[in-house]
Amino acid sequence: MLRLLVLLFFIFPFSSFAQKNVVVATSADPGHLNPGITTGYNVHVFADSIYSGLVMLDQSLQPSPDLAESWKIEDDSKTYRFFLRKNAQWHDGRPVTSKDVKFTFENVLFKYHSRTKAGLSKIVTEIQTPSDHEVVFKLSNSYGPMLSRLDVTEAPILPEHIFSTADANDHPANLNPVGSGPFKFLEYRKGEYVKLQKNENYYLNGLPKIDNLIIQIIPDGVTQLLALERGEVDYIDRVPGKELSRMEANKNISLQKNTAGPGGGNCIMTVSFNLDREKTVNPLLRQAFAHAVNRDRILEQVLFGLGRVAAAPINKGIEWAHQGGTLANYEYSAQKANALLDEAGFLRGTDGSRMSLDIVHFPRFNKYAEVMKQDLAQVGINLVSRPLDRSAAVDTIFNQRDFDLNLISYCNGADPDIGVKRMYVSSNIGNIPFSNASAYRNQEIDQLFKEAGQTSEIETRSVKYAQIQTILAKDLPYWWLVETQSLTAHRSDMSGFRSWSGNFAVMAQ
Amino acid sequence: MGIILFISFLLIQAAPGDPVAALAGEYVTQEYRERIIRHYGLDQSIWNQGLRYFQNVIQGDFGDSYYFKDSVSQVIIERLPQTLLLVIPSVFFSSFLGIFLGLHAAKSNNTIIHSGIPLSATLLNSIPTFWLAYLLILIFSVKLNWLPIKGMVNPRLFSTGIDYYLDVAYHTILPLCTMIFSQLAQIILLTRVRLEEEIKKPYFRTAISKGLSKNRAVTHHALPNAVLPVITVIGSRFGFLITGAILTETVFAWPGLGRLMVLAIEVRDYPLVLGIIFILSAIVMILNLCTDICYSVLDPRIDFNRNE
Repeated sequence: MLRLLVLLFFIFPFSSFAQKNVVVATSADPGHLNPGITTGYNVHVFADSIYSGLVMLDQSLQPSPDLAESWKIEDDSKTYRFFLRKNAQWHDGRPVTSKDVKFTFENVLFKYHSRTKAGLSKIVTEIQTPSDHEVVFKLSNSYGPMLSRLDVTEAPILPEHIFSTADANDHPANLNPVGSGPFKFLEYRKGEYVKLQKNENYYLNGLPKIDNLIIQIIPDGVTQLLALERGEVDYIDRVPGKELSRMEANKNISLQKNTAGPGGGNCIMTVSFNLDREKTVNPLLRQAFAHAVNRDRILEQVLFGLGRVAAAPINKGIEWAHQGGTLANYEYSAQKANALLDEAGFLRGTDGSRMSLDIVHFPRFNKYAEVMKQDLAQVGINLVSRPLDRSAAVDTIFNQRDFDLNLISYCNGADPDIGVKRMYVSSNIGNIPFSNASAYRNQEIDQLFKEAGQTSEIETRSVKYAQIQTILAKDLPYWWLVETQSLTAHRSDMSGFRSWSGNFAVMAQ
Repeated sequence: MGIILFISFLLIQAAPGDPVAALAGEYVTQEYRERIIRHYGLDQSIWNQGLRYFQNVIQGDFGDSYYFKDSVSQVIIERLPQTLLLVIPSVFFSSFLGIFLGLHAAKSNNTIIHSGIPLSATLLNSIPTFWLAYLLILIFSVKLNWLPIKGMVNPRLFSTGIDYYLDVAYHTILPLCTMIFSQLAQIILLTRVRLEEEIKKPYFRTAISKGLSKNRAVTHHALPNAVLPVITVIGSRFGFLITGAILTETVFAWPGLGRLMVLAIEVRDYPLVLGIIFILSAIVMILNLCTDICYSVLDPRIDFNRNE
């Protein structure tokens, strides 16, 4: 037995590899590998390396060529004409054509990819295929954010010859994907790993640089970090903020801070006020809440400095739309909060307490609730934390509407039309996960969002979004706490990870 | 069996939430939501859903998992062996080691062994499983660099054949030890307590006075009596262990049934949850039967064939 152990000890950790196999850790099973039928992070982190989009997004979320080699925007940005690469082919050897693009949008994305469906299906009137390598999108009105919605996370292109045989939601190819991306599917062992192999016929020359990409499912964050430190793992997609200083001290490990990632970036931790309830519909209470919560302390004690205090309802990551200083009037001041609550008639009882408010949130946001509870106690509000698991929280908030307050991480994405609008427009109130949780109704806001989405001129749009943010800061249907950043970590002997993108390993070496 | 499944069906329907949020991700629209709900027949009344489900189950069809888009039986069959790989050897080793150590603690005249074993067992019993797992990782993987931290194989290696099995064995050591240690203490303590009770009984005094050594009297007379309740405990813990392996499976990223159960509940994958409950209750029932059979072998007072 001892001899066997010694033998194993020498064989395994020190064997040398002819091939470059990279192990990536992520925390949950994908379930299936079709990025076209879900926006869930758990699927995209695996499947985005198998497929391609028409464009790639660089670190500042600007489009560059991917399956589309070039494009022309015509007719006052109502027509987008894409020229596909002639050397792009599916993993089974068939060429990628404009018909695949048309099929994917009409039969898969506009049915099942909730973000692309919501954003594009009503605007795209027709998809034409003048030749095998040319595809034309006709829009009902000019639409600015078009290109940023066509990367592999928002619009992965699927092969028509595979998926045309059955409905995409139940297609067997969801478990045996054939894509055109940098990596080919090898094996999915549930609860264990997905193994991907270099696509030798990939259309981008010299890429990918690694031979096999293995994405391993490691549910426990501590195990992930220990495995990274020991070199069992090369890359971790999400590192908890509290590990920042420990990771920084380790020279074998490099860190990347991101505001974006597959599945939605530019996230803001946001408190929703239930505007259907008597206490929280009172604007003075909402203003008092904003003054009472010390957001700098949340940044420091909950996020360990990873992020920034929200300066406006739209994330600073979308620079042209972000209207900094919009929330400057709501500085941290228990005194002002107390005065506002007195004015509103919420007087302190004999025990010094004015009222109780409950807050629904996912268990992993416990610390935010704790910090806010301490702050609110100073102004006589007793905050009662109600941690619920994801499905139960979504049901309680959006179906039963049984809450005074809730805390959600709303991700603004690459464009306000995708991730911001959904929180505020009145048509989005109801039993829809992660929609308008406060039940905020304002016709002016509805109109401004509509106008901002219809034009492609950045200047016009940024004026509209500035107006929107000014109104929101006055009405305060939500209170925006902090903009969060995510942290990825990799072994220092590797480089080239595009950690902001779904296609994160294409240039890794 | 049917009753268990029926109650579970009602319970999971009563849990708040539905699978839409987990399936679609964020940014869901109303129309999309309705499409998913219709697709899985969740818009029908609970009785219709129940009726359809039980009709299929009687024909041996547990349906398809929403999350894995694969048949429930397939998903469970892939995961069950991995859990059993930890549970069966750990029950085996911890039982024999636990009874052996309990026996020594009871019969030894040496105070260090006599009170030292139960004392360490009590200490071990108070360590939470996940903490024990981290402790073993820190000692054997991080400090000594002997054993791997996570997984069932090293996925970098693409090993096959005999190398694959060696790799699995190598990765099994730490999680298996965690499982053994987490059960060991109870068995030691129970064995010792039962033995000390037996030693006080008249038959034991008779055995000693007819000239047997204490050693022989304990192993041949007291032990067979003392070990019966220990077997009951081991048998009844078996079913618990299969799901109780969750913590060990989570820390070591071990692809077992416990983790699958947690995931299925989180994403409200109703068919998968029910399928796992079905399998677990079947296993528990079979094991109870096995325990009873063990009893009849070990205890001559119990005889299934005797008619009175």
